[in-house]
Amino acid sequence: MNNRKKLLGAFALLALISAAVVLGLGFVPPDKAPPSVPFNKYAPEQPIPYSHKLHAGDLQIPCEYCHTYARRSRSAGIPALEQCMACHKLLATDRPNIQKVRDAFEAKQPIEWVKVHDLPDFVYFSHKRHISAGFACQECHGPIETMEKVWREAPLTMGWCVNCHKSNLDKGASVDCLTCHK
Amino acid sequence: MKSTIERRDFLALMGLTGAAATLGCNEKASEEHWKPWVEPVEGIIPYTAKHYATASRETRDGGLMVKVMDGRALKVEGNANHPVQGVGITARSQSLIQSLYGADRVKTPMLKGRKEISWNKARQLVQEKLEAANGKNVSALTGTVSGSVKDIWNSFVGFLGNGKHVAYEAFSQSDLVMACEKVFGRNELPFFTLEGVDYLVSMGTQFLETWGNPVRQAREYGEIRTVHEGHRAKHVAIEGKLTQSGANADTWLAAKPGSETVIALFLLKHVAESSAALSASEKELVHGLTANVSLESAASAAGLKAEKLEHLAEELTHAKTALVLPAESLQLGDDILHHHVAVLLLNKALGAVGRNIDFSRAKSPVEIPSHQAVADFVAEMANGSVDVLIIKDANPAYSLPSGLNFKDALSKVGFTIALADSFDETTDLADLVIPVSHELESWGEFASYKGVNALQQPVMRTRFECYQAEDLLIEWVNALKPESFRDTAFRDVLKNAFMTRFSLDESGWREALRRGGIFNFEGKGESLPISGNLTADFFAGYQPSIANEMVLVLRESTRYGDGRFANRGWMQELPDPMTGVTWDSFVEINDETAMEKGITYGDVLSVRVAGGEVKVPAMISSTIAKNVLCLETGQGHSAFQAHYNRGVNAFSLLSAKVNAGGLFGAGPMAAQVTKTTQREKLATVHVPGLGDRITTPLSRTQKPGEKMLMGTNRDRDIYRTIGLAAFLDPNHVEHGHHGVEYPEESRFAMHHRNNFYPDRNKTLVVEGRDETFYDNYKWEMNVDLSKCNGCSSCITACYAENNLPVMGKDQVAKGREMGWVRVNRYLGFREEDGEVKTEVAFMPMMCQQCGNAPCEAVCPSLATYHNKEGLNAMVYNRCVGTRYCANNCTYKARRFNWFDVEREGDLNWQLNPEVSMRGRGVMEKCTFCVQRLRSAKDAARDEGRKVADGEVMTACQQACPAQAISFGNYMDEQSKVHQLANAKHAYRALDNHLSTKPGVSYLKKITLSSESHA
Repeated sequence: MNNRKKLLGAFALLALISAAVVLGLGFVPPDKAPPSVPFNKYAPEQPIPYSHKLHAGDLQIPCEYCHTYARRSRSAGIPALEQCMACHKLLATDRPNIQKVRDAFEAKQPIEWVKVHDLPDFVYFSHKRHISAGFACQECHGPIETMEKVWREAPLTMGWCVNCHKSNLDKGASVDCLTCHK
Repeated sequence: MKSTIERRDFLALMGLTGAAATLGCNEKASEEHWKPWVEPVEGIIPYTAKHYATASRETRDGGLMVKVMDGRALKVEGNANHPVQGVGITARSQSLIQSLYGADRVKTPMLKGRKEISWNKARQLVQEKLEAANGKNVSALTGTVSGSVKDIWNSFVGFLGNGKHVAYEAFSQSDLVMACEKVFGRNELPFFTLEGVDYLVSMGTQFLETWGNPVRQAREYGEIRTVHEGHRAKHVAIEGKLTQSGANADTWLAAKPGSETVIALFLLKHVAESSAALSASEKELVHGLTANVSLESAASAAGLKAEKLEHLAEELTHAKTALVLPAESLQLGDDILHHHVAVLLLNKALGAVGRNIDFSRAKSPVEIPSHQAVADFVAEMANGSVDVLIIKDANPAYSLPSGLNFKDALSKVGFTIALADSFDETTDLADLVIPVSHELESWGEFASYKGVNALQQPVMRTRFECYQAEDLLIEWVNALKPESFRDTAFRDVLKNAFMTRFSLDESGWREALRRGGIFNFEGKGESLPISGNLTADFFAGYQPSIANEMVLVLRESTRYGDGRFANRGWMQELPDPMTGVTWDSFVEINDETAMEKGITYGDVLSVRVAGGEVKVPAMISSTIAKNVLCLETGQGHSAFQAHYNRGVNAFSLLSAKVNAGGLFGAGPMAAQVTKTTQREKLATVHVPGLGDRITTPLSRTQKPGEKMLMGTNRDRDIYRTIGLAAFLDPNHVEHGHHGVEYPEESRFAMHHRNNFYPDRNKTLVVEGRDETFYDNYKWEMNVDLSKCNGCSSCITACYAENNLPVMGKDQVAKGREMGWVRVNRYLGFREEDGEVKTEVAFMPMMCQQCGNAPCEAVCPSLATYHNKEGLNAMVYNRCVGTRYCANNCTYKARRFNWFDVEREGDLNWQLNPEVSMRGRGVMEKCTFCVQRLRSAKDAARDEGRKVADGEVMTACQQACPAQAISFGNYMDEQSKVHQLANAKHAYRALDNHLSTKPGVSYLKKITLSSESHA
């Protein structure tokens, strides 16, 4: 009995330590987080700190100028490097981040962006359908034109989807499970 | 009682659980990355499928359409532009995609013994060897190649010395070509079509599976088997082993193997007497040729009753448009040429030459290699006169008869290079294996019938370093003799040759690629006179050799073919249509013969014939004649991954002597069968584990007077037929299976309807409001049982479309195969003229999308429910795996995931991203390809309309060669599916018993018998 207790004690200690380590790794310390990301919103670090505030806000580039597939496909698509280079061949070429983009383009190595809005694989979602129904990008993505660093505004939970579908039945939204579950 | 867990222990455990939970919730772990294009490719939109037309060696006379999404090939479909192929496709052809991603792909150059070497080293080695052999004998052995591909190979051997290029295919129709030369003086293979045939005789021909152009033939067969103006074609199968094609016949005459020629001669004699298609001199010639044949001798040779044979001859003579299909080459022995000559003459006498056997669309003999060439070449190799041998797309080490000693001959060759995409027995013998691009990654062309020129184009990029074989040939020759080839890329060679041959410009070339080739396939249908090659003494001295004892016949496997399909999970798991066996070799043996010999299902038999001995488990069957054994080709490999090396190699039993038809001798082989002490359980999908008699419980499967095997003797009418006379009679009243008239619904169903479930088709959702349950769409399917021939192509299509896993033999044996659609095979026996007549019925069974589904009511988590489009929806991530639904399903249409299945090789690249992957513990089933419905509705909505009839096809419907499946919106009264569902001979399976209100309707099979049932 005593041995068993010791073993369990060791397990508990191990568990607590690993929990602490995991928690420590998982949470971004509050002082390092960019101040603009609201508390508790998911905003992963990207390989290049691309600013939607600058491009979509200040410069007023329309969303679909870069996210060209949004009206044609399920996926809005992240623009190809070529698209970035269309402007940045000439613009702001002295900045280190732009140089990173140029280097990647020349090496023909795609930049691996981290998905901010990632739906489970068993869900079917089509950007095209929502855009052709007349929804603005901001209705789901939040005030994207003000975001220095993109965060996930919507919870992307089933209840959140269904609520919106329910209130848009007249627009042809459906609340059948198979509309989204594939 | 004191609890044994103490507070401290509890806390410790809690801590552990907490840590585990935190680990599980780590957001970083589920982070997904996205790699966008560097430079976008024009026209490619993420998640949007594109289709590319191509062709493959496996479907030489056909064309393929490959679905590609985000740069990955996902599914192989039929090319509707292709005149021979059409939209349907065989199960085998669909499995091409599995060889693209399979684990047997060669990924780096290798020395013998699978020792990996670098590309540089391999190149150096090839260069060295070719330089040393330059001017001597550098030969090539390939599969059949045509057009510019053939030119490259010929020039390659020509540039390097005095070697030759030999084409070899394990299955060839060179016998038929030689017979055409003999009878009509035309050295080519005519195009066989079943169009407009009203009387068809097949003599063991697997024309719906492997022989000729099975997809087109199945389509035509489906057409002639439906009623047009009160008539339907009759089909008589004369064969010892009932093939899947023969199983569809109205009459099965179980003739002894080896008697095909005598029967054909007797029929010829009978038909020719009053034939209008023969001139006087031709009649005289035929009269002389058949002088020795009589009804009695033919009937006794065949072991058939004389009346039956006479009746057949009589019917054939009076048929308007009759056609007789010759026996399979593997069935024919030394009389191979005699048989084909007799059948061609018979067709000539029937007037079928020109009408159904079309020489104006013939195929050139260069596309049909005879085995003589390869036999001679192996002899040359054995002499040691070949210095360097290059092998591609041929597996002689596996499929040549063992008597030819290919292995020894190969060891005498100076250096052997195998250009291969996958490992096989031959690559394992080669000194150097060089990976080349797969068929779906290559350029090429296939010339087959006159007017059919199919193009092969790569549909995706190669995933690792490998090159098109022809590019390598060009590179090697140009390195030795610069400028031998002007174009250094085979693509340009092909393009230039094709553009010159058909005088195309750039846009014409692009259009040809888009369509899949250049097609100009119109038959002129002229009849030909009998040529002078045939002399009156051709049959003189001909004696049929028919063994009275046990004989073994070989047949080309529907699934494994010449063996190249055997390392594909879909093919191994696809049940043999007649016996339901998966994953193994088996020898089919008649049930009564087996009983006499004390053989039971699963006994391993030793079968000894002149060519060798094999040990195979026995499959007891009622669809094979007494004293006949049947073994199919394609299994018995040694070079694939371990789980695909199964069973025995039937080719090893072939005789090394090339017969009169230019093929390695097969035919019926006298066999000695002894029972060994071993037993092996076969994995069969027809009632697994039932035992010796494999029958299906839902139908009448007992022979008259036999005791019941299962606990019920009720024929539940799941499969129904209607006699032609009854079908045509407007006043006909349907009778039950025992001749008793029964009402449309059973009492049980009526009770249910009145008391239990509302009829969603009619009942208003809310009383007083004009609103029914279904609004715009109610998706329904219809299957025409007169057209379905049991080929099982739908099963493979479903595997490809819906990400179904391959489970392996052990799981199939436990009934855990995952196919969402299966083809039930029912056997019926009836007594006729003192004989037991065997009838076979095929019925595709998938989820019936019941309106009153038994499964829905029992689901505790609402994972399955009836949706407003008539689908029995299944939400996978909601399922908790109680399996109540499967237990309650009337049709056994639900499948449970007992495991998470790992896919070997890169096979997960094939997965359709439109369909969820189901994990362990989840129930799954057919949902009428809801992903296809979704995208069709999406497209329709873009244009502000409803989905049009015929716009959306399910995967099974699309693949069905016979076009037996229709699909559409029942709410649209003009739709095909609505009209078929309300046809006179439509029914819904078991609805009259259980009132499940299925969304699938079947059209009863129209039979020529007077009875109407199954």
